[in-house]
Amino acid sequence: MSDPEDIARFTALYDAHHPRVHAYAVSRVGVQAAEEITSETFCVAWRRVRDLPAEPLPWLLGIARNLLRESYRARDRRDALARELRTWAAGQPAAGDVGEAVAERAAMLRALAALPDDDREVLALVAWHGLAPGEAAKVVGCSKASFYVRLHRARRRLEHALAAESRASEPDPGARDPGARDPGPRDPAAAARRPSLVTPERKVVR
Amino acid sequence: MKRDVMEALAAARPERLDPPADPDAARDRRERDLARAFLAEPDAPGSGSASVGRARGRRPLRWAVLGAVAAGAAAAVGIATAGSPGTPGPPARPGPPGSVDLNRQAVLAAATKAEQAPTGKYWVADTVDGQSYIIRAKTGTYAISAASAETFQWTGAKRGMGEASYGRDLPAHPVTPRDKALWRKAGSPSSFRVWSNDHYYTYKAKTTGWRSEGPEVGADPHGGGGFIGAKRGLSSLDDLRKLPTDPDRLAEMFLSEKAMDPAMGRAPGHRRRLSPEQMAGVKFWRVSAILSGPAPSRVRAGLIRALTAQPGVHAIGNAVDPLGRRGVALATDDRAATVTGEYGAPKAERGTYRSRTVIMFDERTGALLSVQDQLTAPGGPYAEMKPGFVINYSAERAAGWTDTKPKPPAELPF
Repeated sequence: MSDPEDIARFTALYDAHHPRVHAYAVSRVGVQAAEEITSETFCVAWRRVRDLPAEPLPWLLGIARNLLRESYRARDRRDALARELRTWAAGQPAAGDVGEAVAERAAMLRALAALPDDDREVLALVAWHGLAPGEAAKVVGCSKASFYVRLHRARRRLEHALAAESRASEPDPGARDPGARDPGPRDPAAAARRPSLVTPERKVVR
Repeated sequence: MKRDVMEALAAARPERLDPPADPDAARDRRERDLARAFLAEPDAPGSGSASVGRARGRRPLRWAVLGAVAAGAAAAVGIATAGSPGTPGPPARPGPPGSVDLNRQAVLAAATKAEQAPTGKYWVADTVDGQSYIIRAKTGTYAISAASAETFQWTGAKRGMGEASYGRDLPAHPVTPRDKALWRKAGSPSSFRVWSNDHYYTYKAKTTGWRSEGPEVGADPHGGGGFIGAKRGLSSLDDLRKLPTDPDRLAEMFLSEKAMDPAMGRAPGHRRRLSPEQMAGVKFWRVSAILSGPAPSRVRAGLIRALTAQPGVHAIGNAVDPLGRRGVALATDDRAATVTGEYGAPKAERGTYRSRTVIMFDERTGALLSVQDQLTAPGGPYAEMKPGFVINYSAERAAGWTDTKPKPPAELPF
């Protein structure tokens, strides 16, 4: 039987960590599928509530990570995410952002989109989800030492991608954004991309 | 880059990572999530420790997502349609016991057997998928099938009987005799650098061993009892047995606009309009997801009939599937897709082609064989390919009940 103490503990867990689990899911698979993955993550967490560790965030993100891996083929997830990142790059500037800052953010997101998925994951865990390397290592299931190595390599590749991005920076960055213009009937490939963020462009753009 | 790259990355954190700020929506979501979680009882402490984070008995979205994937998919590798040079393949594996019987003329035919399908202890589904790429060698252009993987899953009939999922990468290889000849002429390369969406990727002609740990795979000795069914999440064997057998009712449950939402990863009310051709293709994937599970034979028959009756779905007769097995096929109308330079595709990859989605069944047993996207009008990346060329596929190598604990096969599917 569920006991009231478990329920209270779990509800507090949900309230404290939902936004961060959601953010993690968005960063791995895009906005559209994130809600379902987040909800499912807490379903699993509830069943394991009696094993709740003292530091629950890496544990929760580990659950979300496994769900994502079970639910999406790696290629599909990677492709969906790369597209989402480019959409963000060309999307609405955050309030207060001006000129250069906007361009810098966009270039960063495009550079990130160009990296291998594993690199994106380790970088985001640290820079976007605020995990210490030891916590992030728990999420991805490796030792702290090897996480440092992965982070270091990912970071170097990001620097290279960023340099390539600034060399390639073009007058019309909006042209890269699949959502920036209405595809209309003349662009069936773009229309075909619409059903879902998890539609891999690998298949549709070809 | 004056600034530290990690700081710059942190500064570029998209606002979209945060849940929507609307308090009403947040409250609804919280109530819904908590209610959903509390449906289950917590496990005893320590019972999940061996696989922290693994979702027991849940494999909720894989096929569902494939449906969405296929909705937009525009490609097709080559099942050879009737009359094309494919030799008749080896006999298809026997379908699930008591499964449906299909008419030779059209897939529509029907399954009249009313017997209850006998069940076993473990349901096994072994799926192979692949994607075609074009190699423009100086000695002549040929196609390879790559990005290919095999997934072997078994699920205990009831929760607690266990479940496991294994995966392996399959070798990239030229498919048709003509492709093989041109590949040899090009020096029989064992790695292939190809344009994939928005980047180059190199595929190798090698196989990996079966993995049961890592991405997308894993074993859960306490899982089992969950299958793709009509509802969100998983269905029990009993749920599947209670499904109607009438095609109209099945169409309403699985293939109506409303029923397609979860299969396409859409929230209700967030529908985007799909073309009728895309919609028909999604239905193929939806039905294939159910057919690769242990639904009773009369339900399977009803679903195939329902699919055959959908708008924009045509029976195209006999064909050979990507694993070389003969079967009968349904196809959608074709649709155009255009590759532009938008994602940096090289010139040779750009242009417009047309393709359709095809689903194939074993005509003797009614078992699902494969779903694939097939070229109908060459152009763009496939300008040098012929109609019937398979752009991508997912084939069911085996599906059925067994009483002994299943093991993934050592031999390759091709």
